[in-house]
Amino acid sequence: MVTDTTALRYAQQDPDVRLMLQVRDDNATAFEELVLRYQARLLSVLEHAVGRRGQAEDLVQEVFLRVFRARKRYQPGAKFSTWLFTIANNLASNSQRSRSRRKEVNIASAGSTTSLQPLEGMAIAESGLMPTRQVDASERGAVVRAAIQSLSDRQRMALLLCKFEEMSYVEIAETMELTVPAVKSLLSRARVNLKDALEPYMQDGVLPRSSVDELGGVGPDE
Amino acid sequence: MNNRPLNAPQFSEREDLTVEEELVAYLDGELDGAAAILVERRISEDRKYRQQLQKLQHAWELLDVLPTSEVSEDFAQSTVDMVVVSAQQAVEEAGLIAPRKHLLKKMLLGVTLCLGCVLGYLLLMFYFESDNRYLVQDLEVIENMDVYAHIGSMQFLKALQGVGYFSRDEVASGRESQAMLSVDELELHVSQMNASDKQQMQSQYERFLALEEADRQALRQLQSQLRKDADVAHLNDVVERYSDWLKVLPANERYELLSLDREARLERVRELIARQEEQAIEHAGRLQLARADVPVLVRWVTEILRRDEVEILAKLPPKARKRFDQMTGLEMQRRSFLLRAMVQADSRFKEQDIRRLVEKVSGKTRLLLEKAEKRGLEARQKVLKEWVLKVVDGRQQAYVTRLRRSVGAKELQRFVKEELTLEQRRTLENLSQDEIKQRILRWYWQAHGGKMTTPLREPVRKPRDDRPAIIQ
Repeated sequence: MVTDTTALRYAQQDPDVRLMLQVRDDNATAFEELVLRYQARLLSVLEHAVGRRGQAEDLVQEVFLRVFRARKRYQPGAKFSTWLFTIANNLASNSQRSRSRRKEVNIASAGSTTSLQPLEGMAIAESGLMPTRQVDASERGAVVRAAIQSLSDRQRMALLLCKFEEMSYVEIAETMELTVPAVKSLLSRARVNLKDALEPYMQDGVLPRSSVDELGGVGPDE
Repeated sequence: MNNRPLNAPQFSEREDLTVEEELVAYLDGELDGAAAILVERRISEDRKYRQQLQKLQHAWELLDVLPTSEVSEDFAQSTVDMVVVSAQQAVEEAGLIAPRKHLLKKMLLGVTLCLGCVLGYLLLMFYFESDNRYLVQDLEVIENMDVYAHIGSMQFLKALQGVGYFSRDEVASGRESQAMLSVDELELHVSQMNASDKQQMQSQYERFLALEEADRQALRQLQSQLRKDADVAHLNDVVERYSDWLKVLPANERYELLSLDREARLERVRELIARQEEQAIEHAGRLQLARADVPVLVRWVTEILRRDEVEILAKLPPKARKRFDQMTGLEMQRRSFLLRAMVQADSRFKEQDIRRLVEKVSGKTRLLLEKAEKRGLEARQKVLKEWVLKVVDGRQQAYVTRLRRSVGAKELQRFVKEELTLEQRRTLENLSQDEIKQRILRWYWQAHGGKMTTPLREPVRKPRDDRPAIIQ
């Protein structure tokens, strides 16, 4: 339960908490301001977390919808960003679980400007150069995205919060509803797995096998 | 938020990863001083350990190639719109259950709904009847808990009343009645609430219960003192007005205010109100006057001009006086010039002049002047000065436009070619195109105005003797 002192402390320290308190008082402008402040940050994390732009956009809107619906019950018990990303994490986890139940094939990062077009991808696949072909700068993003997609959902989210949101272990623990030692373990495994996935590229500059599908099989977003 | 989930990693899983955990925590700056020193010592001594660190670091740096997502301009708007639509739907769904296609579904839904309603009703009844005693006792505190928390004490409330801005001589009837309701009446009031109000009340009640006991007690004490006060109606009005005022304060100012102690807070309240009133006056000066008030204002200011003309002319600086004397045949310009000189002397509009104007203007304009009145004569003079200047500028601009239309282009070309002096031509070199046109026009009428009896081709108007010269 959040005490009044805690709430006031967060309200004094965090301007976004103050905005959220205005949202609680039905101030629409404050809500709009929060959307403007956080939409790009949320989208960055969620796009890499779920691997699809369209789905990430839907999730961002769903996050804000949840925020709006929960406004009357809002009591500041953490930084606003921590609370917001907790909602985002829960939604992303649910979404990923639903997807795996539907046994969907994950076509990672479609719609990205750095991805190859299908025809080009096909040409590369038929060139006989894969997977030992040299990776150029335009493909580096695809390689890294594929490596991220190879992580488990929770490892990926912890990694993204740490990298993109520069959250501390304590904040990640609050956001993902874990203990701090669990976050420590999760992040170390995430980074070891990331290193393993990227090792071929780091050592020889060659395209790792894990990114072959992404480069060759880009399709429509949904 | 801090509940540990069931799927958190087990300790045994983590033991295998001690080295990586250590390195990752070191890279993330999460190790304390002593642990970091141990890691650094091992890095310098152990080549394999060092390589492992470098690989982890390199992999981490590669994440920098990932772009941050760009959001389209209309995404935020669509998000807000979506939330609004969803909120509306939620409201509609709460009151209206959409018809279902299949009868079975309908029946199942109906049964579920009935059960839900009964259950909900029983829960609400249980909630409102078992806890109602407590809720009703604290009802007023709960309803006003946010604003009471902001006020804090009776002394502060009385001090607020003294600020003036929050107190009114007359308050609406019934302001005191709520405070005088008996417990039974309050219970009836709660039982008659609709579902939405009850839900809101429940949420408020939960927030109230979440407070520390000392905080709850302080709120109750304030409410009790308020009830007993002989001036309860006025004080309730102050509470409401202060609450409304707080709501429109920017969030940072509101929280800065609430973090101050009583004396400092009161002082800050006064400062903020003074600033708001100042801004309101500036805003009033910038407002567009109601169309019907423009001629009223012009007539009013012209009367003052006629009355004080000799005095104004006497006080003109020599250079300005010379310019005025050169404006022969240009009645409108002469009047505008004098008006400008008059309003720039701020004290020209006297109390009785302003009172005369207030009687003649529309309700909206009167309200603005009355608001400014609270800040004194000077504030009203400032607002009037802005209005008069705006009207003068507007009319002068219209006059110049009409003048320009009344002189043919060929005539102006001839004037430039044949009559401009060398000095005048040099002056034009430093002016913009619009300024050149205006200046030529002015020189033209200075040169020819005196010779013309009717310089403008004015539209034919029905003569009205009561209209002052300036608008004829």
